[in-house]
Amino acid sequence: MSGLDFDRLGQLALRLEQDAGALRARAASLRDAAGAVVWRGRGADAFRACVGGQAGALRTTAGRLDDAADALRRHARAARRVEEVAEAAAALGRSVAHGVRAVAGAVADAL
Amino acid sequence: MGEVRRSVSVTGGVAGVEARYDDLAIVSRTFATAAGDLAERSWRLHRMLADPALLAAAVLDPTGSAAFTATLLAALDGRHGLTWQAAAWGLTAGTVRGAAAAYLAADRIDDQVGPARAGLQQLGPAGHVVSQWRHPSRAPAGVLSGDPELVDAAVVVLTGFWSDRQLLDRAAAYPDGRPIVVATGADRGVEARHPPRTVADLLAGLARCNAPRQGGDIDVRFVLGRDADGRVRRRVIVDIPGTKNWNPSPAEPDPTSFGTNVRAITGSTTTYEAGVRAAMRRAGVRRNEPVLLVGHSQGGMVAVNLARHARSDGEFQVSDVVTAGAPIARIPVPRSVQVLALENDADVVPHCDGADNQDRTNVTTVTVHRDTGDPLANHSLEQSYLPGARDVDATDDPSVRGAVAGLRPFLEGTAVSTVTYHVERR
Repeated sequence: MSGLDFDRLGQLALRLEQDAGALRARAASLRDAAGAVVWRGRGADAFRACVGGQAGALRTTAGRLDDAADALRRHARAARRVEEVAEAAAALGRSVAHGVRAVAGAVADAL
Repeated sequence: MGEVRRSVSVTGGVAGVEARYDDLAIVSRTFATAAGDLAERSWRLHRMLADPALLAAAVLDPTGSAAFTATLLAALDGRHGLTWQAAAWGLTAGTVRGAAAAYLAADRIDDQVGPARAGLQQLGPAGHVVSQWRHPSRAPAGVLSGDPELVDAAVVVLTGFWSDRQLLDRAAAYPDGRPIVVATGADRGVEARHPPRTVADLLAGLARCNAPRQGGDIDVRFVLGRDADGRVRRRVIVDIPGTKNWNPSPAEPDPTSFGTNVRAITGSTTTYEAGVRAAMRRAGVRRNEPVLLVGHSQGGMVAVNLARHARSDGEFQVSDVVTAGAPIARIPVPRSVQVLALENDADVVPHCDGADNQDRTNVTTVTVHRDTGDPLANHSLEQSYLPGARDVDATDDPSVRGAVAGLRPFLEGTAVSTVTYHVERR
């Protein structure tokens, strides 16, 4: 009735979680890549501190994408509840209309 | 850099240095690939917000839709969000490549001066000090700040085989907005009422505009003075501070943000420049009034670009530019504009364009020596360039004296009034 595609919303939430997982994996691989570099000195220390901070920021973003996936699932459930209520109300309306039409027909026949 | 297969080990310095160029090149490529992937991922997640299923669900549950959208946008565009991180990993990749290039350059210098250094070290303490000149162990401090002259070599590697035309195209492709200019009143402070007398006074005025305020704040100063024929004439000094915001997002309202650096360094017009011009217009600067632009760092680049463009279309008569710590080598300077460029030899930023300033009679580059040991302080207007300007005022170098003499009409005013503006990007 409203065009709500609950499955599609679920897919989008899943994609957000997959992106979050990919970011965590990327953070780990970048940190490992930096760790494998033969580089010693003050510049190297600054470099590793920088990479550590940025990898941490990537993990934080992954957490935010998980939060977004949760928010999307809550939103999908709420939208589905609204749609169900609307469909129930529409069904009730159709039943009432059908009943009214039946009563009106019977009255007309009796007259 | 791919074919470089040597490593260098250096003794001495604070802790010694060891770096393998090919390792640095590989990790730089890894980071650059990650930056591209993160940018692509961010773009794809932005597009998700236009998915028809989300739009349909928003009709049924607008509150939940708003909460989801806000959460996702915080992850993408908020502080340290995915878009920011894509740029940050890209910058880290470039910095690592630059470090490799700096080491390579230092190593080559070391190869050339090594035997001489060994001889100098035989001469005792004085010889040892001389032998540390351009020692590679100074190159990586703060990644690249220890020996700023090596950054020029690094940038050549960073920019690969791009021609100036390609650089210009890439810079011009970086999105920019349009300026909104708001008048923020007159500066009635005591210092603002003293006409400048020296180069240091000019930078002090710029520092006053820079210090407590936000990105996009500029000053227009009107200086009244008498010409040689005794007639009173008004001249204009415009203060243009540098970067206060490193957000790479083109939607960042602060016009001094990262994108302005990308565009300005190659001579492209920017929202910041357009905003300064609009403020000059708003302040009532006339076509025939001599204008001096004073800019620090990014502000210096914007100043030279503005001088060039205003000269080209004739809107303002920009006769002089004073820059401090600005990479202006790639920006063509009209012959009718006199540029006095101050560069601190311990400051990395003037080397970010990978070239020396133009060697012309109307472009005077003065190198000051203000190494505080802190890369940020070495670039600071207040901590390095203001004291450096006092050195400039004190020197008797004929080229410098000639350049300062050209500024004299702006430094012999009898009264000054200052109006302030705030520029934003929309």
